[in-house]
Amino acid sequence: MSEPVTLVTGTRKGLGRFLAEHYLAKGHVVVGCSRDESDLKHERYHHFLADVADEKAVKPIFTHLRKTHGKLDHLVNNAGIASMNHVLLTPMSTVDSIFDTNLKGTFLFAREAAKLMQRQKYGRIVNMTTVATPLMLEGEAIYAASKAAVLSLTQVLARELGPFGITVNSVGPTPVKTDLIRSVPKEKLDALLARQALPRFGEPEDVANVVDFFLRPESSFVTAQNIYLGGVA
Amino acid sequence: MDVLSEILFPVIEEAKRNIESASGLEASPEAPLFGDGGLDSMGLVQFIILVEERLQDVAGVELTLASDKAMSRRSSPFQTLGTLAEYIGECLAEEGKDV
Repeated sequence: MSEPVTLVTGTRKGLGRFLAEHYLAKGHVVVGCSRDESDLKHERYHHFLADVADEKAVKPIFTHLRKTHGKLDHLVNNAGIASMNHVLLTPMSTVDSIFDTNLKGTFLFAREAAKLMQRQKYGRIVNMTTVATPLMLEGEAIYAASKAAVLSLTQVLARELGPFGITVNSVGPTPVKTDLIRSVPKEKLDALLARQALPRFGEPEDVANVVDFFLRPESSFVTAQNIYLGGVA
Repeated sequence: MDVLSEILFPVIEEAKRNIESASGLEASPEAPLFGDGGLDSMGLVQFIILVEERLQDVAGVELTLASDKAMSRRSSPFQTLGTLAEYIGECLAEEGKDV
């Protein structure tokens, strides 16, 4: 049996980089992408330069997967952006860019991944939501709304792709110390952590643990599920 | 390019191997593609994916066949292989490809 082929978006830094290295360590072929060059070098890693919402830039990733590997087993739709701002001060360009990356990017990759996965009647798709949605986090209205849309997309995709043997689930991390939360003031983060059942920052390993579970072949009966970390319901 | 012989007929062969509801498909312009004697709805989705991939491989063109243009037509281009070939020909011509 050939190695599992895993596509992770947003692999230049942060969680995406961690997940790429995590699955390389597990023996997967990993394909990653980001808007800028990556310094991750590995014989089983291939990097593409692509904005996840740019269909013309994204399609070649899937052509590569089809022609080089003939399959795709896993997609982790990790790429995401946030922007902390009061709604009264949020420009429409920010709304567009957050929805482009978080929702349209997730949809585009899921659609193209599923085209490959349905050939082998097997696939695992994991999307990223956030605790900012159930916690109704002030200052993150557009980010939280874009991820609420990702949650809804996950649940409908699970139903449409289920007949092809593809599961679709999502994980909603608490704040993890990455660039995504760099601009969030400390008092906001402390207040957010205090609302969790387990009031601490998340670690990349916490996220990888849930992604691992969704990707397992044994998780074939687990779909349309979302797991929030840190005891947020 | 002859869309029927270069794109659709080879896809029929691949579909018969990989799509459950494709067993009754015939390599003929009049043969129904969808419904009675043709594909079921999931099979049609899979068939369209195969056609788009072959168009990319053979003609070097990326088409989205189930576009608003296709879906809003009074007469569906997905009725028979012939109507689909005609529709693909129109799309290729719009892309400036020789048909």
